[in-house]
Amino acid sequence: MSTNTIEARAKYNNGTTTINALITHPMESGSRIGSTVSPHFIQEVRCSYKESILLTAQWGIGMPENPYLSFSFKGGEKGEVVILKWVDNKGDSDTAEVTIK
Amino acid sequence: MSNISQKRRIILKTALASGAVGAAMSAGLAYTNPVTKSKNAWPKKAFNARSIDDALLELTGNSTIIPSPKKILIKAPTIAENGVAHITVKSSIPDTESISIFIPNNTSPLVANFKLTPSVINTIITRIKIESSGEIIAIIKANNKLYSAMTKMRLTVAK
Repeated sequence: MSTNTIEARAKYNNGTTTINALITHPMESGSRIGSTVSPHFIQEVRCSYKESILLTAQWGIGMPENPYLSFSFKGGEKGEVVILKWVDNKGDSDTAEVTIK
Repeated sequence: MSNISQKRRIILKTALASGAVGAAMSAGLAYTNPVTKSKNAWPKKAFNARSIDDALLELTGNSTIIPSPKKILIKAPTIAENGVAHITVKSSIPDTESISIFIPNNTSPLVANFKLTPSVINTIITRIKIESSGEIIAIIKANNKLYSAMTKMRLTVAK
């Protein structure tokens, strides 16, 4: 995969941190009519903070191209890091470290 | 004689089990997570299930749903342009463990499953793909019970 597939921001406001992430990925379902492309989609996205998992997203072929995810958690501090990692069905993966602003 | 055949069975079983694990590893389904170093396989059967009940059984071991439209808020447009729509699922159920999004009319009804830890606020915003007009169902797991809410969406332009 090309580098930097994860475009993410983490913003701290009033006790909570909000994460917005946009992942560049074809999310090919492999079931389009007239297409012989094999499925290629992200199966799991993990978000972690301070070495513990915050959220695990398990995705199927119903997620669109370049999937988007947003959620918030209690806590966080400006300057700290949230880690996002995705893995797809072909074993490709990417990880991003997002600094909370 | 019976002793030998029993041993044979055990050998066969272990061989089969390790074979299955090896296959899963090579397919990239099981991997080591750097954070917890635990292996967590993608629930393939749940995503392949053709009905919500089957998918829920695979995912949670339960398929009894309590409809609770007042506790779960789904914010989504009534029309999905080009088959893709933004969706917000907000749960006011305490101890929400997971939020799943289902579209019964899709080839694979289970679209996404989000497992939350206690510090995460019970709201998920994402984008989903809709194959035809119909229902979108959000199912929340909390304290081993399943709660659901539903909304309808119309598809305007297909690809």
